[in-house]
Amino acid sequence: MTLPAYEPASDEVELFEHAWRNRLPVLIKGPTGVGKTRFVTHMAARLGLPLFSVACHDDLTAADLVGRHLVQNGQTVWQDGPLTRAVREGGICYLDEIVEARKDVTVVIHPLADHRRTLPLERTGELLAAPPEFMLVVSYNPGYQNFLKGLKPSTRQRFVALRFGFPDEAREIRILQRETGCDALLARRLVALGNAIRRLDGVDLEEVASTRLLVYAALLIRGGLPVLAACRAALVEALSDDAEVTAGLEELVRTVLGE
Amino acid sequence: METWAGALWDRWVRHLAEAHHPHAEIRLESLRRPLSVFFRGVGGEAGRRFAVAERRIHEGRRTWRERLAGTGRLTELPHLTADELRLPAAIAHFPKRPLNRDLYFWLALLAAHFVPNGEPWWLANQRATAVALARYPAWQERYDRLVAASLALRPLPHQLPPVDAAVEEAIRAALRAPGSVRTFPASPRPPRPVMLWLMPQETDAAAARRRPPPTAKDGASSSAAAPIQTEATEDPGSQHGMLLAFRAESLLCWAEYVRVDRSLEDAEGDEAGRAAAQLERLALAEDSDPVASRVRMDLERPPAADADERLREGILLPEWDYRRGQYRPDHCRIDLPRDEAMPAPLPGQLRPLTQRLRAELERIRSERRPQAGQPEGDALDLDDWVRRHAELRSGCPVSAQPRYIDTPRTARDLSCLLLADVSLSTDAHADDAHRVIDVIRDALLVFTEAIEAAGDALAVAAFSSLGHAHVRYHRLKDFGERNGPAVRGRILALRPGDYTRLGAAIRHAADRLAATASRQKLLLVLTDGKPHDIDHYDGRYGIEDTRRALFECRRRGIRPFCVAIDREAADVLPYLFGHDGHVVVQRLGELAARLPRLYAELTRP
Repeated sequence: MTLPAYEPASDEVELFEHAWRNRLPVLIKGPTGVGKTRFVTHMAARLGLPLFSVACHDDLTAADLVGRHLVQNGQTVWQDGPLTRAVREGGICYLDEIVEARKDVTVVIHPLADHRRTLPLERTGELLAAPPEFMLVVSYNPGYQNFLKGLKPSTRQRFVALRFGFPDEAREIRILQRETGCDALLARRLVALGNAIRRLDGVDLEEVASTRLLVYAALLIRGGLPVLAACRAALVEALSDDAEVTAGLEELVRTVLGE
Repeated sequence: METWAGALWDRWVRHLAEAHHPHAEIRLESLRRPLSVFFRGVGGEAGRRFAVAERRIHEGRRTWRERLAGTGRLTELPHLTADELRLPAAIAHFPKRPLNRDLYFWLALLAAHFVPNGEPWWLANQRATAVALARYPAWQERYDRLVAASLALRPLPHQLPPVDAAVEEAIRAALRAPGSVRTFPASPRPPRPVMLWLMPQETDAAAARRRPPPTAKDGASSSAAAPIQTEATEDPGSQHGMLLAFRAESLLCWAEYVRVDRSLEDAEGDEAGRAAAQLERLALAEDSDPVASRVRMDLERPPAADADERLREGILLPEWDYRRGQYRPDHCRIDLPRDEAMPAPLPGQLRPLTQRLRAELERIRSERRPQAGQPEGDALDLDDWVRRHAELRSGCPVSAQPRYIDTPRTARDLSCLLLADVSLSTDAHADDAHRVIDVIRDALLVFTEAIEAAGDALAVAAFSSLGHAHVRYHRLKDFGERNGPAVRGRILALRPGDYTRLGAAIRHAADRLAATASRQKLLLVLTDGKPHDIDHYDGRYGIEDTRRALFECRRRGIRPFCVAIDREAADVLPYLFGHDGHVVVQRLGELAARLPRLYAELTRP
């Protein structure tokens, strides 16, 4: 099996391995599109563990994670949810954007995220003890200024936390080249553009250009689309709906990448 | 007939003289936001504002056409001040729109790389140009186009007297190859302005001429006279237009220009003020004598000796000094005037709107969200039913009751404080019939009535200030106080105050909001302008202090939101309140209806 490519920023790979060996759960925080999910995929493959990813949303309940009874052919069948499967099979359960999930989700992850490492299945009466290989990983984006949503301290305090930021210039250039096969000059200019847009964080834009968006732009340009059109589609229009802001962003694109 | 011919000639000769292409004109107003996005993106300071450059007289050489037309002496030179980038209100130098537009963006790019380090202006501009182009090589082509187009508008060196020619040659070389000109020929007069460069801040000598000396009756008065709209003009006596051969023509101008030497004729009384009020237009011109102007002194009062003094008693608040990067402790004092006003009913013309809004807000109060697993409700909880069914088959103990999906009323737990700016600028007219303050009063009345229907805790306050020791915070309605005739009376009795010390008012409002027990806290700020007060609380200082105060709010779990009623303020709002933390109300008449609806949107569960 080939390892999904991941370009480490510093010591996060070793940290993750240590956490896994010591059976500690991990919390990854950082803006969207900087490689949180890629990192977890990479680590799961590196450690040879099955990965159970769940993208959390505001209708996700504990039952969706743990499992539920289904009626089939007049019989009732218990169906494991992704969290239960990860515990049974000894893999990594990755809850992406954990703050989006309903509050009852935290109740089921708390006993898994401390020294107990157990998952009580109330509906089948089981109490699953997590094997040593099991690991719980959650991520969230602290940038969203939502009044009602935030990670409760009691949840946060159970995790080893890693912060992901935008990659530095040299690393992001390497990522772009590896992901898209574009040449060094284009990669360098796209990264310069990304960094120019990132200066607008919180002032003009809610969210700034992620590495993922830069990869999209590079792919479109490599595919033969003119540079301006590619950047307009992948970056400018993706980042703002405000016509005046997009006009300013387009000037930035022209300034960094040329006509 | 003579007048008509004269006007025609004048128009023609002006057209000839000015490189002016109205059809290709780009206005700063239309580019303000894109420019500030661009400026920040290329590395400009986030707190810097964009403003219109004032018209100034330049003493550079004019072309024969300009001399013929008597124009070209007044220009709006782009330049940097301590916290603003000032650009011409419109650019129409070139016949093609994209080129005029490019010039704006070029000036923003240049300003982002401009380091005022005491170098002479021609060196600083070359350096900034070279750095900007090295950093953004893609701009080279556009820069070359701008240089070619602007050189075409400059006089040719061989047509100039030798002294001017040397200067012109140097400028041309510096534009073509920035960084190449290390020495600049001396010249008795400044060169023609370079439209691709930022002009130097005015020299001390020039500044001294422009300002009244500080001895000019400093303590004269800081009475809250309304700032009179003035415009800069030049003294026609110094303008030798060629067409004034026939003196009688000047009679037409009589009403427009009466030369009054204010430095001599300003009496201590308020006669000048009364005279000014009667004038249709008031123009300020400069001559070499010191000019004392009461209006100017109020705006440009030097810092009082006690500006740094720590206040002793009262409600004291700190203020953020961005230059030092630290707070000035106990720097502002909050006054809490509460003039009991006559209780009043709701004005009749507001009743229909109020009733409509009350009905709308009643609805958000009773907005419901479905909840599963309830002992009673409107629909059977199917998920629960399947589980129950399964458990029954598998022999698990099952509780007897089926479960339902119910949509109960969700309890709102929210406090809102509405903080209105009633500085003197609200005395201005919003339209023919109403002043801004009237619109604000109506909006406060309607808002108070409507929010009562939503059932949330509400406090309403207004503020104005006169220096750091007098920040007046009018409590119109406290939390827990019932809305009624007394509250309405206080709102109706509101009068415009002086200035806008936004930071202190926000800090005090936040203290009050933080004292409530609600889980959600919303601070609505209603303002018609930027932070501004007499003792140096303006420009960057006021903006940074306000930003700091808002930052403190967010850290305390208070969500600030700004409703602005002035487009001018729109470019600092994203910096202060964030991209999604403000809204600009374009039509003032809609404010009263807009505010409660906005509130409903902001607090929708």
